[in-house]
This record gives sequence, structure tokens and C-alpha cells, in this order.
Amino acid sequence: MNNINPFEKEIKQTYRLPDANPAFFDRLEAKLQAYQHNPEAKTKHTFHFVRGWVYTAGTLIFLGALVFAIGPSKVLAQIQAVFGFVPNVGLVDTSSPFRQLAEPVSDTRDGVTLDIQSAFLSADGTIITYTMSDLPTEIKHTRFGEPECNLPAYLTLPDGSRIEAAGSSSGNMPDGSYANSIRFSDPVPANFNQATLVFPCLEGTVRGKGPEDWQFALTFKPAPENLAVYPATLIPSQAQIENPVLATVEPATQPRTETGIPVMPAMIVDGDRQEEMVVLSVVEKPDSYWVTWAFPDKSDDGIQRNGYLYEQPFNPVLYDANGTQLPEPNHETQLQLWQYEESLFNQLSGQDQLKYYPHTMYTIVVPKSGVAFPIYAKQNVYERSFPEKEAYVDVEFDGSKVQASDEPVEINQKIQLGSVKFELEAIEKNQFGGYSFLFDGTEGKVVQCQAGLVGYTTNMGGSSSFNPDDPFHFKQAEMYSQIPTGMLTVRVSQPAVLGDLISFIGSWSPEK
Amino acid sequence: MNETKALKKESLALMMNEAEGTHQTITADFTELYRRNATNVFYYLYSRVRNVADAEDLTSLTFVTALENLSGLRDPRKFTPWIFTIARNKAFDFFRKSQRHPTVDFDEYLDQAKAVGGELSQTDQDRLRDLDRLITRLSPFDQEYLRLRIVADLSFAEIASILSEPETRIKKKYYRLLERLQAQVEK
Repeated sequence: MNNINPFEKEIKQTYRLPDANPAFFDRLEAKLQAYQHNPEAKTKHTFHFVRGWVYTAGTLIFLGALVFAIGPSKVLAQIQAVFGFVPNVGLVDTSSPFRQLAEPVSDTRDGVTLDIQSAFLSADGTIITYTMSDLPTEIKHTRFGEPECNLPAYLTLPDGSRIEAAGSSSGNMPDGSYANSIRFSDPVPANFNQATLVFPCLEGTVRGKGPEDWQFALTFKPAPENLAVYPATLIPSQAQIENPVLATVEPATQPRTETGIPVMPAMIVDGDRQEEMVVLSVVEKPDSYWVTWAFPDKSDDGIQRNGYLYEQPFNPVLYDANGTQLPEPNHETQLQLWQYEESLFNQLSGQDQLKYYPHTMYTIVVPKSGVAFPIYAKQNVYERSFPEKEAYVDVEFDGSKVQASDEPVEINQKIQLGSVKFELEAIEKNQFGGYSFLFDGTEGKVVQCQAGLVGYTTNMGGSSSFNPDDPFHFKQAEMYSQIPTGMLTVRVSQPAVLGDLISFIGSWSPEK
Repeated sequence: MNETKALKKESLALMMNEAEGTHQTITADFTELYRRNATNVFYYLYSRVRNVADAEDLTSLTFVTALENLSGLRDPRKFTPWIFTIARNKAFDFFRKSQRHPTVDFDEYLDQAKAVGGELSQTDQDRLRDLDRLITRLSPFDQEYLRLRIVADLSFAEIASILSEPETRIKKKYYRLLERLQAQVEK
């Protein structure tokens, strides 16, 4: 049983778990025992992989196990480069031949065994996977807050140059080992078929306790010609916005209005207004397409905290041309989509990375059959604006009185910043050592503001989450290492005003 | 490592030695595995569907499915994450097929708590209500971290195995999530 702290116990209370009924469990046990002893009942056994096992194993054996035929050779309508989706690798530049590890390399040090399982080299980067096994307990990172090795591995080439890792990830294997992958965004030049992989320390282990400066000599060879590569189209949003001619070569045949917003069936549209969601990429798999939509995330950098211009309390939804809502992917597929999105993100231009990732990019599986095209994706968001960034109002209050009270102390101070009106209803102490300011923004449709004590430096602050059912009652909190008391002044500024409900919509259909 | 977990590990290791990958021994131990996991599977499913009858049905389905597919479990030590993976899929299927969504009636719960003598102060009621509201507004994935850790009582390694995410990432996400929730509820 996990040791849970008092706050976790409170969370557990919110689930209001009932008492388990022993009779039910006894009945089920008897049923299962009867089932075990009934051979007829087990004739349905089929070869069945454990899902988690498939995933973790997949990350390790992606080269060895990829024996699928090459997807249909297809000249893609590319705008920048030619991309392909390689399962378990991701979206890669296919403009030059792929290479892979000539043979796995293994070594054991300080009781830890590292197996360099695979490497995948393309024109736009290198991905190396390895397993880490037999980790002694003392170097496993088990306690939150314990110093952890966070130095990624790097590659050195025969000419002495060094390629730094751009990212890494790890996961558990069924046998208790760890499956890891490292991504290098700089390619290994084609004239080098050898490199040394260097681990300054083992990422994720306790800092200073595991092997250090561990080196592995790697040799590369051409990847097999029958490697599965699914056609992928990457569509930089810049091209879609600035160059309408280029936009016409998208695989997406998007019916558009004059404003570029796809015409959606009327029953789908529910926002106050519609804006366009663009298609960033399409992968064609044997039975489906993976279509990634995005709309630009926007924020106002002039706002002290949380200057985002969209509130997103809803999930994206997908409809076909008949207005039928398509089901969400299962968990297994969702994990694959996230992996894919990570690789897609790495291929986006820096501008698009800033614009979309991670909150406004959605990859959706579109079946090739049984769906009426075009399909429509919709993401509803609330717009926010900051009409008064400079104005502020100071409100005095008795901090000692607030700290001494178990209830919020009523203030009921009307506030007007420019044309924006709202009210500071009350102030209460919070457990972290500070003050929470309770606002009613109903009059001016205010959903957030900045509130801080004049003359004191806060060490932490925050605000209540957006509640679509009651958006105009919100809290702002400020915490202090030394709680100020006595007569205090709170400065209220930068109100966020709730605007329209915007439906970001996009449509797509397969290339004719 | 606490006693329960140590016992589980030792027993499963023993089982693995005996089993040597054969279906026979794993099946023989299924009852024991069932007894160890059934309550937590039930609580996990209850936290998803918020209804005892549905949670019991889904618990039954989960274990029957596990028994049917036991030959697919390559490593008996992974039984716990495996059974929860099945339970999660059963919950997904439940919502997909029924188009139902869990309902939350917090006032009813508070009334029940009072009725059985668990009198809560107004402050505690408000705090729990706030906390419940905050949790229901979390993303599905954040909610799942809480359910798997707090309700299903799984280790981070087991959660990592179920969600196919690195254990360290889950730990960090989980503790950051707790910090965030606590900060919000204290406000």
C-alpha cells in the first residue's frame, strides 16, 4: 500500500469509495475458479500480446521487427522536404538513405548493464535506443526531490566533433529493465559510419552513484530496403497563410469560404464565431490517415501571469460530412499519436513550434472507409482580452484581521479599471502563508486579474482554474515567505475579460 | 518497501521460478492474484463509473478477460499493471458503449458522510467540494494519475507500465499535480 500524505487522503475522500462488498468478491472468485476448471470456456484463447509489453518492446526492436513492405511509392505534394512516418521512430526526412546500427553493443559496469539496441540515422537526425538493466537499488531514483542525473548522452565522431542530444525518454520493460531512447537532431554525416556514444552519467539515476563517462563504439550500416515507411505530408503553416498558391497543393481538399474557414454542416457550428484550424501534417497508413490540426496559441507577454488569450475548457471533436461525431481513439492509439506528435513537433519550424505546441495541436485518426468525407475538426475555446494593462486600483485592508479569521473577510470594494468593472468581494488567508483575493467579475465579464501586496515580494502566486459553469467568480492568491500583517494595500490590475466562444474548425478529405 | 509490497514481490518471484513461463502455474496462482488485486480494481473502476453495480460488473468482466487471456501474459510479475490495463479498457468500453459519463453529486456524498457519523465541518465540506470540483476539471490524464496512484494504490513503476510513460516523468507530473491542486484548494 502506498504511503499517502494527508492531502492525498483528502483527494481519496473526494472519490467517496464505498465499502467493498465481501459477498461480491466471494461470488466472483467462485466464478473464476469454475471458469478455470472448465476447459470449454478456454477454447477462445488467441495469441494476445500485453499492450504495455508491445509498446516497450516496440521501442527496442523497431529495426529488427520492421519487415513490412514499403508503402506504396508515392510522390508527395511536399512543400519543404520529403517526409515519411516510420513506426516507432516517427516522422523522418526521407531525402537520403536511412542507416542503422550494424550490431547491438553491450557492456556492464558497476553492476549495471547497458545494451545499445538500435540506431536509426536519417537526413534530419539520429535516434538511438538502449536498455538499462540490473540497476542496483542504491542508484535507482526513487525519491522525489533526490538529486538525479540529468546529463544526456552525446555522440563523438571520428573527426572529434560532438553531436549533442536533443531529447531523451525512458520507460519500464516487463523484466524490470528500462527502455530508453535518445534523439539527436543533428545528423551523423554520411561519410562517418562510426561514432562513440558517451554517457556522462545514466539519466534518471541518483546523481553521483552510478557509472560515469561510459563509452560505446557504434558502427552503422544501411537500413534494409523493405523498411516500412508511410507517406507523410508536412505542411508548414507559414506556407498556408502567406502563400495561398502553395496551400492549394495540400492533400486536404478543403472547401473554404472567402475567409478561409471551411464550411461546416450547420448542426456542428455552435461558437459565436468561427476561425480556421489548419492541417499541419497527414500520414497515410494502410487503413487510416493521421491528420494533425492546429490553431495558433496566443498570449499577451505584457501580462504578469497567465497572459493566454484563449481558455480551452473543451476537447476537440471530429465529425464526418453527415454530421456524425467520430469516436475518440482508444488509449493505445492515443499513446501512438502522442509519440507521433512529439516527432512532428521536432520537424516543425521554430516559428510553428512556438505557435502551436503543445496545447493547440491535435492528431486525429481518420478511417479510410466508413466515413463520409470531408471530415471536420472543431475545437471550441473562449477568447480572453486584456483591455486595461496599465491601470490599477489600490485597496487597503487589515491583514492581521484576515490572518486571524477562519472565514473570508468581506471587502465588497467596487473596482473600475478603465471601462472594466468588477468587485473585490473578500480576502482570506491561505495555508501557504499569504492571502487569497476573491473577486466577482460578473459585471465586466472579468475572469482573472493580478492582485499583489504593495511593498512586498511574493514567492508564489496563482489563480483559480477557469470554471465554465461559473467563470466570473475567481480567486487570485499571493504567498510570502514572511506573511505581511497589519494594514496592507493590495494592488489590483490587468483584468482578463471573457470574450466570444470561438469554434476553430478545419476540414480535410483525402487527395483525389 | 512496506510489508505488503515486499510480500507481493517475493511471492511473485517465487511464482515466476515455479512457472518458468508455463500457463499451468500462472493459472494455479490466478486466485491468489485475484485476491490481491480485486479490491483495488473494484475501487479504481468505481472511481471511474461512480456506481457500485456498474463497478462490480466491470470488475467481473476485467478478471474474466484476464483469465481468458492469461496465456498472453509473458511475465507474471507484471500481472498488476496488466490487470489494470484491462480494467481501464473495460472502463473506456463502458463509456463508449453507453455514452454515459460519471456523475458527481457531492452534496449527496456529504449527506451520507453525516448520516454515518462522519460529521464534517462546514470548512471541511467546502474544502472537499472545492477539491472535487478541481479534480473533475483536470485533464483526463491528470485524473488518471490520481486514480491509479491514490485509488488503485499502484506504485509509480506500475503506473509507468500501464501508461507506457517513463516512471520519472510520471513521478514529476504527479507531484507537480499535487502541488498545483493543493495551491488551488488552499486559495
